[in-house]
Amino acid sequence: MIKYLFNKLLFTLGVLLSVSLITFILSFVLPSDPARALLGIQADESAIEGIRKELKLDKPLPVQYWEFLKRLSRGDLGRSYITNRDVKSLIAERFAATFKLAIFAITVATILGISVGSFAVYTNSTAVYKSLTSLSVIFASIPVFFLGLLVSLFIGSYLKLLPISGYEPGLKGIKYIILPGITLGIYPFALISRLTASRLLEIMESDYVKAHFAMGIKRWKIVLILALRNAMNPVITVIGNSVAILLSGAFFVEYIFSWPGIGLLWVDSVLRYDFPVITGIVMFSAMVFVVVSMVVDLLHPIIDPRIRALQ
Amino acid sequence: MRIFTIVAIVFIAILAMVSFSPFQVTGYAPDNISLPDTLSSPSPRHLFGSDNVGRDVFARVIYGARASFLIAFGAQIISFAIGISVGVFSGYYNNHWVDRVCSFIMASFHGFPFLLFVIAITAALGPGIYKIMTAIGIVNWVGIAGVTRSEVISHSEKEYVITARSFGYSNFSILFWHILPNVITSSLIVLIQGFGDVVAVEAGLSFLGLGVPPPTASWGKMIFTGKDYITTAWWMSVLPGIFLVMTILSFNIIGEELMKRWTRRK
Repeated sequence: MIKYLFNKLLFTLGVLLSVSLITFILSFVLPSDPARALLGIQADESAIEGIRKELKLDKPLPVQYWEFLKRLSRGDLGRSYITNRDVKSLIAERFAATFKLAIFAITVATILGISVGSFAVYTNSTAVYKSLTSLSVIFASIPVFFLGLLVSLFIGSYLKLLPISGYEPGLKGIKYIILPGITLGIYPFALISRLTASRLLEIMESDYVKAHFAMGIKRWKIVLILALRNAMNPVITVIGNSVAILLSGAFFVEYIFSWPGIGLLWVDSVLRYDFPVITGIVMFSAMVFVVVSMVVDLLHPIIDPRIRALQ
Repeated sequence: MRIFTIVAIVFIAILAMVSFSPFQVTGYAPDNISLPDTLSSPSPRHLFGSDNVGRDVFARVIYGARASFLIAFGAQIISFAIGISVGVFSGYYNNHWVDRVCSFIMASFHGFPFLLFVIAITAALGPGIYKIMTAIGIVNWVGIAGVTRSEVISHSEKEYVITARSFGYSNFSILFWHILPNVITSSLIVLIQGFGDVVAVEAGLSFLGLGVPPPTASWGKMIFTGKDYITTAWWMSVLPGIFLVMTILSFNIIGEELMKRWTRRK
Protein backbone atom coordinates (compact mmCIF):
# COMPACT_ATOMS: atom_id res chain seq x y z
CA MET A 1 0.00 0.00 0.00
CA ILE A 2 2.77 2.43 0.93
CA LYS A 3 4.65 1.57 -2.23
CA TYR A 4 1.49 2.15 -4.25
CA LEU A 5 0.98 5.52 -2.56
CA PHE A 6 4.58 6.49 -3.15
CA ASN A 7 4.42 5.55 -6.84
CA LYS A 8 1.19 7.45 -7.25
CA LEU A 9 2.67 10.53 -5.60
CA LEU A 10 5.82 10.35 -7.71
CA PHE A 11 3.74 10.00 -10.86
CA THR A 12 1.56 12.96 -9.89
CA LEU A 13 4.65 15.08 -9.26
CA GLY A 14 6.02 14.09 -12.66
CA VAL A 15 2.77 15.04 -14.36
CA LEU A 16 2.73 18.38 -12.54
CA LEU A 17 6.29 19.02 -13.67
CA SER A 18 5.43 18.38 -17.30
CA VAL A 19 2.29 20.50 -16.92
CA SER A 20 4.54 23.32 -15.73
CA LEU A 21 6.79 22.76 -18.74
CA ILE A 22 3.82 22.92 -21.11
CA THR A 23 2.61 26.08 -19.39
CA PHE A 24 6.07 27.57 -19.71
CA ILE A 25 6.25 26.72 -23.40
CA LEU A 26 2.79 28.23 -23.87
CA SER A 27 3.80 31.45 -22.17
CA PHE A 28 6.87 31.50 -24.38
CA VAL A 29 4.80 30.98 -27.54
CA LEU A 30 2.25 33.59 -26.51
CA PRO A 31 2.65 36.63 -28.71
CA SER A 32 3.76 39.07 -26.06
CA ASP A 33 6.78 40.74 -24.57
CA PRO A 34 6.28 40.69 -20.80
CA ALA A 35 8.69 43.57 -20.26
CA ARG A 36 6.86 45.82 -22.71
CA ALA A 37 3.49 44.71 -21.41
CA LEU A 38 4.48 45.71 -17.88
CA LEU A 39 5.73 49.17 -18.81
CA GLY A 40 3.42 50.09 -21.64
CA ILE A 41 4.06 50.98 -25.25
CA GLN A 42 5.69 54.34 -24.63
CA ALA A 43 8.40 53.13 -22.25
CA ASP A 44 11.97 53.81 -23.36
CA GLU A 45 14.36 51.04 -24.40
CA SER A 46 16.69 51.29 -21.40
CA ALA A 47 13.82 50.81 -18.93
CA ILE A 48 12.62 47.78 -20.88
CA GLU A 49 16.17 46.41 -20.91
CA GLY A 50 16.26 46.86 -17.13
CA ILE A 51 12.98 44.99 -16.59
CA ARG A 52 14.18 42.26 -18.93
CA LYS A 53 17.27 41.80 -16.77
CA GLU A 54 15.21 41.86 -13.62
CA LEU A 55 12.79 39.21 -14.92
CA LYS A 56 15.79 37.29 -16.33
CA LEU A 57 14.24 37.37 -19.82
CA ASP A 58 17.71 37.83 -21.33
CA LYS A 59 18.89 34.45 -20.02
CA PRO A 60 18.71 31.21 -22.06
CA LEU A 61 15.39 29.34 -21.99
CA PRO A 62 16.41 26.47 -19.65
CA VAL A 63 17.53 29.06 -17.10
CA GLN A 64 14.27 30.91 -17.54
CA TYR A 65 12.36 27.67 -16.99
CA TRP A 66 14.35 27.02 -13.83
CA GLU A 67 13.48 30.52 -12.61
CA PHE A 68 9.84 29.87 -13.51
CA LEU A 69 9.90 26.66 -11.44
CA LYS A 70 11.53 28.45 -8.51
CA ARG A 71 8.84 31.11 -8.59
CA LEU A 72 6.13 28.43 -8.83
CA SER A 73 7.50 26.56 -5.84
CA ARG A 74 7.29 29.78 -3.86
CA GLY A 75 3.69 30.11 -5.07
CA ASP A 76 4.58 33.29 -6.93
CA LEU A 77 2.47 33.50 -10.09
CA GLY A 78 3.36 37.08 -11.00
CA ARG A 79 1.15 40.13 -11.36
CA SER A 80 -1.70 40.87 -13.72
CA TYR A 81 -0.72 43.12 -16.63
CA ILE A 82 -4.00 44.95 -16.43
CA THR A 83 -4.91 45.36 -12.77
CA ASN A 84 -1.34 44.89 -11.46
CA ARG A 85 -2.73 42.63 -8.75
CA ASP A 86 -1.05 39.54 -7.40
CA VAL A 87 -2.31 36.60 -9.48
CA LYS A 88 -2.27 34.21 -6.53
CA SER A 89 -4.59 36.36 -4.43
CA LEU A 90 -6.83 37.00 -7.45
CA ILE A 91 -7.26 33.26 -7.92
CA ALA A 92 -7.76 32.64 -4.21
CA GLU A 93 -10.46 35.29 -4.16
CA ARG A 94 -12.34 33.79 -7.09
CA PHE A 95 -11.92 30.12 -6.25
CA ALA A 96 -14.53 30.18 -3.45
CA ALA A 97 -17.31 30.93 -5.95
CA THR A 98 -16.16 28.22 -8.36
CA PHE A 99 -15.88 25.74 -5.52
CA LYS A 100 -19.43 26.45 -4.31
CA LEU A 101 -20.89 26.14 -7.79
CA ALA A 102 -19.03 22.92 -8.56
CA ILE A 103 -19.98 21.28 -5.27
CA PHE A 104 -23.62 22.29 -5.66
CA ALA A 105 -23.77 20.99 -9.23
CA ILE A 106 -22.04 17.71 -8.50
CA THR A 107 -24.07 17.01 -5.36
CA VAL A 108 -27.35 17.50 -7.20
CA ALA A 109 -26.11 15.48 -10.18
CA THR A 110 -24.88 12.62 -7.99
CA ILE A 111 -27.99 12.33 -5.83
CA LEU A 112 -30.38 12.60 -8.77
CA GLY A 113 -28.21 10.49 -11.08
CA ILE A 114 -27.85 7.55 -8.71
CA SER A 115 -31.53 7.67 -7.72
CA VAL A 116 -32.77 7.83 -11.30
CA GLY A 117 -30.35 5.11 -12.41
CA SER A 118 -31.36 2.77 -9.58
CA PHE A 119 -35.03 3.52 -10.11
CA ALA A 120 -34.76 2.62 -13.80
CA VAL A 121 -33.31 -0.76 -12.86
CA TYR A 122 -35.80 -1.23 -10.02
CA THR A 123 -38.77 -0.86 -12.39
CA ASN A 124 -37.34 -3.72 -14.44
CA SER A 125 -38.90 -2.31 -17.58
CA THR A 126 -37.06 -2.07 -20.87
CA ALA A 127 -39.02 1.02 -21.84
CA VAL A 128 -37.88 2.98 -18.77
CA TYR A 129 -34.27 1.87 -19.22
CA LYS A 130 -34.27 2.72 -22.91
CA SER A 131 -35.78 6.16 -22.39
CA LEU A 132 -33.20 6.84 -19.68
CA THR A 133 -30.32 5.98 -22.03
CA SER A 134 -31.81 8.01 -24.89
CA LEU A 135 -32.38 10.99 -22.61
CA SER A 136 -28.84 10.81 -21.29
CA VAL A 137 -27.44 10.77 -24.85
CA ILE A 138 -29.52 13.86 -25.64
CA PHE A 139 -28.49 15.65 -22.44
CA ALA A 140 -24.86 14.85 -23.06
CA SER A 141 -25.13 16.29 -26.60
CA ILE A 142 -26.29 19.78 -25.66
CA PRO A 143 -23.27 22.11 -25.40
CA VAL A 144 -23.31 23.71 -21.99
CA PHE A 145 -23.31 27.28 -23.29
CA PHE A 146 -26.43 26.67 -25.37
CA LEU A 147 -28.10 24.88 -22.48
CA GLY A 148 -27.29 27.81 -20.21
CA LEU A 149 -28.87 30.15 -22.71
CA LEU A 150 -32.06 28.06 -22.93
CA VAL A 151 -32.26 27.69 -19.14
CA SER A 152 -31.83 31.42 -18.57
CA LEU A 153 -34.35 32.16 -21.32
CA PHE A 154 -37.12 29.85 -20.10
CA ILE A 155 -36.71 29.80 -16.33
CA GLY A 156 -35.10 33.19 -15.91
CA SER A 157 -36.63 35.52 -18.49
CA TYR A 158 -39.82 33.76 -19.54
CA LEU A 159 -41.13 32.25 -16.31
CA LYS A 160 -39.22 34.75 -14.15
CA LEU A 161 -38.76 32.13 -11.43
CA LEU A 162 -35.13 32.75 -10.58
CA PRO A 163 -32.55 35.49 -11.18
CA ILE A 164 -30.33 34.79 -14.21
CA SER A 165 -27.24 36.45 -12.82
CA GLY A 166 -25.80 37.72 -9.60
CA TYR A 167 -23.78 36.45 -6.71
CA GLU A 168 -24.04 36.81 -2.98
CA PRO A 169 -21.97 34.97 -0.42
CA GLY A 170 -23.70 33.00 2.31
CA LEU A 171 -27.14 31.44 2.44
CA LYS A 172 -28.84 34.45 0.86
CA GLY A 173 -27.06 33.66 -2.39
CA ILE A 174 -28.81 30.32 -2.80
CA LYS A 175 -31.29 31.68 -5.34
CA TYR A 176 -28.44 32.73 -7.60
CA ILE A 177 -26.73 29.35 -7.61
CA ILE A 178 -29.68 27.27 -8.81
CA LEU A 179 -29.72 28.10 -12.53
CA PRO A 180 -25.96 27.88 -13.15
CA GLY A 181 -25.84 24.84 -10.88
CA ILE A 182 -28.51 23.00 -12.87
CA THR A 183 -26.87 23.91 -16.17
CA LEU A 184 -23.53 22.68 -14.96
CA GLY A 185 -24.98 19.53 -13.39
CA ILE A 186 -26.89 18.22 -16.41
CA TYR A 187 -23.91 16.62 -18.13
CA PRO A 188 -22.58 14.76 -15.06
CA PHE A 189 -26.17 13.82 -14.22
CA ALA A 190 -26.60 12.19 -17.64
CA LEU A 191 -23.34 10.28 -17.27
CA ILE A 192 -23.95 9.17 -13.69
CA SER A 193 -27.55 8.02 -14.15
CA ARG A 194 -26.71 6.07 -17.25
CA LEU A 195 -23.60 4.43 -15.84
CA THR A 196 -25.40 3.52 -12.60
CA ALA A 197 -28.22 1.91 -14.55
CA SER A 198 -26.00 -0.04 -16.93
CA ARG A 199 -23.69 -1.31 -14.17
CA LEU A 200 -26.66 -2.26 -11.97
CA LEU A 201 -28.24 -4.12 -14.85
CA GLU A 202 -25.08 -6.18 -15.31
CA ILE A 203 -24.93 -6.98 -11.63
CA MET A 204 -28.60 -7.99 -11.50
CA GLU A 205 -27.69 -10.84 -13.88
CA SER A 206 -25.05 -12.28 -11.56
CA ASP A 207 -25.53 -15.46 -9.58
CA TYR A 208 -25.42 -14.00 -6.10
CA VAL A 209 -28.21 -11.58 -6.94
CA LYS A 210 -30.29 -14.41 -8.37
CA ALA A 211 -29.64 -16.38 -5.18
CA HIS A 212 -31.01 -13.51 -3.14
CA PHE A 213 -34.09 -13.35 -5.35
CA ALA A 214 -34.56 -17.05 -4.75
CA MET A 215 -34.47 -16.36 -1.01
CA GLY A 216 -37.45 -14.09 -1.53
CA ILE A 217 -35.80 -10.77 -0.73
CA LYS A 218 -37.65 -7.79 -2.15
CA ARG A 219 -36.37 -6.24 -5.37
CA TRP A 220 -35.81 -2.76 -3.94
CA LYS A 221 -33.70 -4.17 -1.13
CA ILE A 222 -31.57 -6.10 -3.61
CA VAL A 223 -31.07 -3.08 -5.86
CA LEU A 224 -30.34 -0.57 -3.11
CA ILE A 225 -28.48 -2.64 -0.54
CA LEU A 226 -26.85 -5.45 -2.45
CA ALA A 227 -26.19 -4.34 -5.99
CA LEU A 228 -25.71 -0.59 -5.71
CA ARG A 229 -22.50 -0.76 -3.70
CA ASN A 230 -20.96 -3.10 -6.23
CA ALA A 231 -21.98 -0.83 -9.06
CA MET A 232 -20.39 2.23 -7.50
CA ASN A 233 -16.77 1.87 -8.59
CA PRO A 234 -16.99 3.21 -12.15
CA VAL A 235 -19.57 5.74 -10.99
CA ILE A 236 -17.09 7.12 -8.45
CA THR A 237 -14.55 7.53 -11.25
CA VAL A 238 -17.04 9.55 -13.27
CA ILE A 239 -18.02 11.67 -10.27
CA GLY A 240 -14.37 12.32 -9.48
CA ASN A 241 -13.56 13.27 -13.05
CA SER A 242 -16.54 15.61 -13.11
CA VAL A 243 -15.44 17.27 -9.88
CA ALA A 244 -11.96 17.70 -11.33
CA ILE A 245 -13.32 19.21 -14.55
CA LEU A 246 -15.81 21.49 -12.80
CA LEU A 247 -13.28 22.72 -10.25
CA SER A 248 -10.74 23.50 -12.93
CA GLY A 249 -13.15 26.06 -14.29
CA ALA A 250 -16.66 26.09 -15.67
CA PHE A 251 -15.93 28.82 -18.21
CA PHE A 252 -19.14 28.80 -20.16
CA VAL A 253 -21.55 28.60 -17.28
CA GLU A 254 -19.70 31.21 -15.25
CA TYR A 255 -19.54 33.41 -18.32
CA ILE A 256 -23.24 33.16 -19.18
CA PHE A 257 -24.50 33.59 -15.63
CA SER A 258 -21.77 36.12 -14.71
CA TRP A 259 -20.70 33.88 -11.84
CA PRO A 260 -17.54 35.44 -10.36
CA GLY A 261 -15.38 32.29 -10.28
CA ILE A 262 -12.04 31.44 -11.85
CA GLY A 263 -13.76 30.42 -15.10
CA LEU A 264 -15.04 33.95 -15.63
CA LEU A 265 -11.68 35.40 -14.58
CA TRP A 266 -9.98 33.11 -17.08
CA VAL A 267 -12.27 34.05 -19.97
CA ASP A 268 -11.85 37.75 -19.17
CA SER A 269 -8.07 37.41 -19.06
CA VAL A 270 -7.96 35.43 -22.30
CA LEU A 271 -10.02 38.10 -24.03
CA ARG A 272 -7.76 40.84 -22.64
CA TYR A 273 -4.48 38.95 -23.26
CA ASP A 274 -3.56 39.17 -19.58
CA PHE A 275 -0.89 36.49 -19.77
CA PRO A 276 0.26 36.17 -16.14
CA VAL A 277 -3.34 35.51 -15.11
CA ILE A 278 -3.80 33.06 -18.00
CA THR A 279 -0.73 31.01 -17.15
CA GLY A 280 -1.47 31.29 -13.43
CA ILE A 281 -4.95 29.85 -13.87
CA VAL A 282 -3.72 27.14 -16.23
CA MET A 283 -1.17 26.06 -13.65
CA PHE A 284 -3.63 26.27 -10.76
CA SER A 285 -6.42 24.42 -12.57
CA ALA A 286 -4.11 21.70 -13.79
CA MET A 287 -2.91 21.27 -10.20
CA VAL A 288 -6.47 20.99 -8.87
CA PHE A 289 -7.29 18.57 -11.67
CA VAL A 290 -4.30 16.32 -11.02
CA VAL A 291 -4.75 16.33 -7.24
CA VAL A 292 -8.48 15.52 -7.42
CA SER A 293 -7.76 12.72 -9.91
CA MET A 294 -5.17 11.32 -7.51
CA VAL A 295 -7.60 11.42 -4.60
CA VAL A 296 -10.18 9.56 -6.69
CA ASP A 297 -7.62 6.90 -7.55
CA LEU A 298 -6.84 6.49 -3.86
CA LEU A 299 -10.56 6.18 -3.03
CA HIS A 300 -10.99 3.04 -5.14
CA PRO A 301 -9.27 0.57 -2.82
CA ILE A 302 -11.24 1.96 0.11
CA ILE A 303 -14.56 1.32 -1.61
CA ASP A 304 -13.72 -1.91 -3.40
CA PRO A 305 -11.98 -4.64 -1.37
CA ARG A 306 -11.10 -6.48 -4.60
CA ILE A 307 -8.74 -3.70 -5.64
CA ARG A 308 -7.25 -3.67 -2.14
CA ALA A 309 -6.55 -7.37 -2.50
CA LEU A 310 -4.85 -6.81 -5.86
CA GLN A 311 -2.38 -4.41 -4.35
CA MET B 1 -30.44 -0.78 -36.96
CA ARG B 2 -32.46 1.57 -34.89
CA ILE B 3 -34.46 4.29 -36.58
CA PHE B 4 -32.50 6.99 -34.70
CA THR B 5 -29.25 5.80 -36.18
CA ILE B 6 -30.65 6.02 -39.69
CA VAL B 7 -32.00 9.51 -39.04
CA ALA B 8 -28.61 10.54 -37.61
CA ILE B 9 -26.70 9.21 -40.63
CA VAL B 10 -29.10 10.88 -43.07
CA PHE B 11 -28.87 14.19 -41.19
CA ILE B 12 -25.07 14.19 -41.18
CA ALA B 13 -24.94 13.11 -44.83
CA ILE B 14 -27.28 15.89 -45.94
CA LEU B 15 -25.45 18.50 -43.88
CA ALA B 16 -22.09 17.35 -45.23
CA MET B 17 -23.35 17.48 -48.80
CA VAL B 18 -24.91 20.89 -48.30
CA SER B 19 -21.78 22.27 -46.71
CA PHE B 20 -19.80 21.24 -49.78
CA SER B 21 -21.87 23.52 -51.99
CA PRO B 22 -23.97 25.83 -49.78
CA PHE B 23 -24.75 28.19 -52.68
CA GLN B 24 -26.94 25.45 -54.21
CA VAL B 25 -29.28 25.58 -51.24
CA THR B 26 -29.49 29.24 -50.44
CA GLY B 27 -29.43 32.30 -52.65
CA TYR B 28 -28.11 34.51 -49.88
CA ALA B 29 -24.46 35.08 -49.12
CA PRO B 30 -23.71 34.51 -45.42
CA ASP B 31 -22.11 37.93 -44.98
CA ASN B 32 -24.57 39.90 -47.08
CA ILE B 33 -25.62 42.82 -44.87
CA SER B 34 -29.03 44.29 -45.64
CA LEU B 35 -30.17 46.85 -43.10
CA PRO B 36 -33.87 47.06 -44.18
CA ASP B 37 -34.19 43.36 -43.32
CA THR B 38 -32.86 43.75 -39.77
CA LEU B 39 -34.34 41.26 -37.30
CA SER B 40 -37.14 40.08 -39.57
CA SER B 41 -38.83 36.95 -38.27
CA PRO B 42 -38.85 33.62 -40.17
CA SER B 43 -40.83 33.93 -43.41
CA PRO B 44 -40.68 32.45 -46.92
CA ARG B 45 -38.25 35.25 -47.82
CA HIS B 46 -35.92 34.54 -44.92
CA LEU B 47 -36.56 30.93 -43.95
CA PHE B 48 -34.89 31.24 -40.55
CA GLY B 49 -35.35 35.01 -40.25
CA SER B 50 -32.52 37.49 -40.33
CA ASP B 51 -30.07 38.80 -37.76
CA ASN B 52 -29.24 42.18 -36.24
CA VAL B 53 -27.62 43.46 -39.46
CA GLY B 54 -30.07 41.79 -41.81
CA ARG B 55 -27.99 38.74 -42.74
CA ASP B 56 -30.01 35.64 -43.66
CA VAL B 57 -29.87 33.22 -40.71
CA PHE B 58 -30.51 30.14 -42.87
CA ALA B 59 -27.57 30.97 -45.12
CA ARG B 60 -25.38 31.53 -42.07
CA VAL B 61 -26.48 28.23 -40.52
CA ILE B 62 -25.57 26.37 -43.73
CA TYR B 63 -22.21 28.14 -44.10
CA GLY B 64 -21.67 27.60 -40.37
CA ALA B 65 -22.04 23.86 -40.95
CA ARG B 66 -19.22 24.20 -43.45
CA ALA B 67 -16.87 25.77 -40.90
CA SER B 68 -17.88 23.24 -38.26
CA PHE B 69 -17.33 20.23 -40.48
CA LEU B 70 -14.07 21.55 -41.88
CA ILE B 71 -12.63 22.14 -38.42
CA ALA B 72 -13.92 18.88 -36.98
CA PHE B 73 -12.51 16.97 -39.92
CA GLY B 74 -9.12 18.67 -39.87
CA ALA B 75 -8.75 18.41 -36.10
CA GLN B 76 -9.65 14.73 -36.14
CA ILE B 77 -7.15 14.00 -38.92
CA ILE B 78 -4.40 15.62 -36.83
CA SER B 79 -5.50 13.71 -33.72
CA PHE B 80 -5.66 10.49 -35.67
CA ALA B 81 -2.17 10.91 -37.13
CA ILE B 82 -0.58 11.67 -33.75
CA GLY B 83 -2.73 9.20 -31.83
CA ILE B 84 -2.07 6.27 -34.16
CA SER B 85 1.68 6.88 -34.33
CA VAL B 86 2.13 7.27 -30.58
CA GLY B 87 -0.28 4.43 -29.78
CA VAL B 88 1.29 1.96 -32.20
CA PHE B 89 4.88 2.55 -31.08
CA SER B 90 4.00 2.71 -27.43
CA GLY B 91 2.02 -0.53 -27.65
CA TYR B 92 4.56 -2.43 -29.72
CA TYR B 93 7.47 -1.46 -27.50
CA ASN B 94 5.46 -2.24 -24.38
CA ASN B 95 7.58 -1.90 -21.20
CA HIS B 96 10.46 -0.57 -23.27
CA TRP B 97 11.64 2.99 -22.60
CA VAL B 98 9.75 4.13 -25.72
CA ASP B 99 6.51 3.04 -24.09
CA ARG B 100 7.43 4.68 -20.77
CA VAL B 101 8.09 8.01 -22.47
CA CYS B 102 4.93 7.82 -24.58
CA SER B 103 2.79 6.82 -21.60
CA PHE B 104 4.18 9.67 -19.59
CA ILE B 105 3.42 12.18 -22.33
CA MET B 106 -0.10 10.75 -22.58
CA ALA B 107 -0.57 11.05 -18.83
CA SER B 108 0.63 14.65 -18.88
CA PHE B 109 -1.85 15.55 -21.59
CA HIS B 110 -4.48 13.70 -19.60
CA GLY B 111 -3.52 15.68 -16.52
CA PHE B 112 -4.48 18.88 -18.23
CA PRO B 113 -8.14 19.89 -18.24
CA PHE B 114 -9.04 19.46 -21.92
CA LEU B 115 -10.92 22.68 -22.61
CA LEU B 116 -8.48 24.82 -20.66
CA PHE B 117 -5.64 23.42 -22.74
CA VAL B 118 -7.41 24.02 -26.04
CA ILE B 119 -8.32 27.58 -25.09
CA ALA B 120 -4.78 28.30 -23.91
CA ILE B 121 -3.34 27.08 -27.21
CA THR B 122 -5.87 29.03 -29.29
CA ALA B 123 -5.09 32.10 -27.22
CA ALA B 124 -1.43 31.55 -28.02
CA LEU B 125 -1.90 30.85 -31.73
CA GLY B 126 -4.60 33.45 -32.35
CA PRO B 127 -7.96 32.95 -34.08
CA GLY B 128 -8.34 31.32 -37.48
CA ILE B 129 -9.82 28.12 -38.88
CA TYR B 130 -6.52 26.27 -39.33
CA LYS B 131 -5.22 27.37 -35.95
CA ILE B 132 -8.29 26.05 -34.13
CA MET B 133 -7.93 22.81 -36.05
CA THR B 134 -4.36 22.50 -34.86
CA ALA B 135 -5.18 23.46 -31.28
CA ILE B 136 -7.93 20.86 -30.96
CA GLY B 137 -5.92 18.27 -32.88
CA ILE B 138 -2.84 18.45 -30.70
CA VAL B 139 -4.83 18.12 -27.49
CA ASN B 140 -7.38 15.53 -28.56
CA TRP B 141 -5.15 12.65 -29.73
CA VAL B 142 -4.66 11.07 -26.30
CA GLY B 143 -7.89 9.03 -26.38
CA ILE B 144 -7.05 7.50 -29.76
CA ALA B 145 -3.49 6.77 -28.68
CA GLY B 146 -4.70 5.02 -25.53
CA VAL B 147 -7.09 2.71 -27.38
CA THR B 148 -4.55 1.98 -30.14
CA ARG B 149 -1.89 1.21 -27.57
CA SER B 150 -3.97 -1.33 -25.67
CA GLU B 151 -5.13 -2.96 -28.91
CA VAL B 152 -1.56 -3.27 -30.19
CA ILE B 153 -0.48 -4.78 -26.86
CA SER B 154 -3.17 -7.44 -27.09
CA HIS B 155 -2.25 -8.21 -30.71
CA SER B 156 1.52 -8.42 -30.12
CA GLU B 157 1.01 -11.64 -28.18
CA LYS B 158 -0.97 -13.35 -30.96
CA GLU B 159 0.36 -16.24 -33.02
CA TYR B 160 0.45 -14.41 -36.33
CA VAL B 161 2.80 -11.80 -34.91
CA ILE B 162 5.06 -14.40 -33.33
CA THR B 163 5.13 -16.31 -36.61
CA ALA B 164 5.98 -13.18 -38.58
CA ARG B 165 8.76 -12.41 -36.14
CA SER B 166 10.19 -15.92 -36.44
CA PHE B 167 10.24 -15.51 -40.23
CA GLY B 168 12.55 -12.59 -39.67
CA TYR B 169 10.30 -9.73 -40.72
CA SER B 170 11.48 -6.37 -39.49
CA ASN B 171 9.69 -4.67 -36.62
CA PHE B 172 8.57 -1.95 -39.00
CA SER B 173 6.87 -4.32 -41.42
CA ILE B 174 5.27 -6.37 -38.63
CA LEU B 175 3.93 -3.20 -37.11
CA PHE B 176 2.57 -1.58 -40.25
CA TRP B 177 1.63 -4.53 -42.46
CA HIS B 178 0.44 -7.02 -39.88
CA ILE B 179 -0.66 -5.33 -36.65
CA LEU B 180 -1.93 -1.96 -37.86
CA PRO B 181 -4.64 -3.30 -40.23
CA ASN B 182 -6.01 -5.32 -37.31
CA VAL B 183 -6.17 -2.51 -34.80
CA ILE B 184 -7.20 0.38 -37.00
CA THR B 185 -10.93 -0.32 -36.81
CA SER B 186 -11.19 0.34 -33.09
CA SER B 187 -9.10 3.51 -33.44
CA LEU B 188 -11.44 4.65 -36.20
CA ILE B 189 -14.46 4.05 -33.98
CA VAL B 190 -12.94 6.15 -31.21
CA LEU B 191 -12.23 8.79 -33.85
CA ILE B 192 -15.86 8.85 -35.02
CA GLN B 193 -17.10 8.95 -31.44
CA GLY B 194 -14.97 12.03 -30.90
CA PHE B 195 -16.50 14.04 -33.74
CA GLY B 196 -19.39 15.33 -31.65
CA ASP B 197 -17.04 16.59 -28.95
CA VAL B 198 -14.87 18.40 -31.47
CA VAL B 199 -17.89 20.13 -33.00
CA ALA B 200 -18.96 21.19 -29.48
CA VAL B 201 -15.48 22.48 -28.61
CA GLU B 202 -15.24 24.48 -31.83
CA ALA B 203 -18.66 26.04 -31.21
CA GLY B 204 -17.61 26.85 -27.64
CA LEU B 205 -14.41 28.54 -28.80
CA SER B 206 -16.30 30.59 -31.35
CA PHE B 207 -18.86 31.45 -28.67
CA LEU B 208 -16.07 32.94 -26.56
CA GLY B 209 -14.75 34.83 -29.57
CA LEU B 210 -11.63 32.67 -29.82
CA GLY B 211 -12.73 30.58 -32.75
CA VAL B 212 -13.58 31.29 -36.35
CA PRO B 213 -12.85 34.98 -37.01
CA PRO B 214 -15.68 37.14 -38.39
CA PRO B 215 -17.23 37.53 -40.90
CA THR B 216 -17.06 33.75 -41.44
CA ALA B 217 -20.29 32.24 -40.15
CA SER B 218 -20.03 29.81 -37.27
CA TRP B 219 -22.73 28.36 -35.04
CA GLY B 220 -21.00 29.28 -31.80
CA LYS B 221 -20.57 32.88 -32.88
CA MET B 222 -24.20 33.08 -34.03
CA ILE B 223 -25.41 31.82 -30.65
CA PHE B 224 -23.20 34.40 -28.96
CA THR B 225 -24.49 37.30 -31.06
CA GLY B 226 -28.06 36.11 -30.75
CA LYS B 227 -28.02 35.86 -26.98
CA ASP B 228 -28.44 39.62 -26.59
CA TYR B 229 -31.55 39.50 -28.80
CA ILE B 230 -32.97 36.32 -27.34
CA THR B 231 -36.18 37.86 -26.02
CA THR B 232 -36.93 39.80 -29.21
CA ALA B 233 -35.41 37.63 -31.95
CA TRP B 234 -35.14 34.08 -30.62
CA TRP B 235 -34.39 32.63 -34.10
CA MET B 236 -30.96 34.27 -34.16
CA SER B 237 -29.53 31.97 -31.51
CA VAL B 238 -32.04 29.14 -31.06
CA LEU B 239 -32.03 27.91 -34.68
CA PRO B 240 -28.24 27.62 -35.05
CA GLY B 241 -28.26 26.09 -31.56
CA ILE B 242 -30.72 23.42 -32.65
CA PHE B 243 -28.53 22.60 -35.64
CA LEU B 244 -25.52 22.40 -33.36
CA VAL B 245 -27.27 20.06 -30.92
CA MET B 246 -28.62 17.90 -33.77
CA THR B 247 -25.15 17.57 -35.28
CA ILE B 248 -23.49 16.63 -31.99
CA LEU B 249 -26.35 14.26 -31.16
CA SER B 250 -26.13 12.58 -34.56
CA PHE B 251 -22.39 12.02 -34.24
CA ASN B 252 -22.89 10.64 -30.73
CA ILE B 253 -25.65 8.27 -31.86
CA ILE B 254 -23.57 7.01 -34.79
CA GLY B 255 -20.52 6.56 -32.58
CA GLU B 256 -22.52 4.67 -29.99
CA GLU B 257 -24.09 2.33 -32.52
CA LEU B 258 -20.67 1.60 -34.05
CA MET B 259 -19.21 0.91 -30.61
CA LYS B 260 -22.08 -1.42 -29.74
CA ARG B 261 -21.66 -3.39 -32.95
CA TRP B 262 -17.91 -3.57 -32.56
CA THR B 263 -18.00 -4.89 -28.98
CA ARG B 264 -20.69 -7.38 -29.96
CA ARG B 265 -18.54 -8.67 -32.82
CA LYS B 266 -15.55 -9.07 -30.58
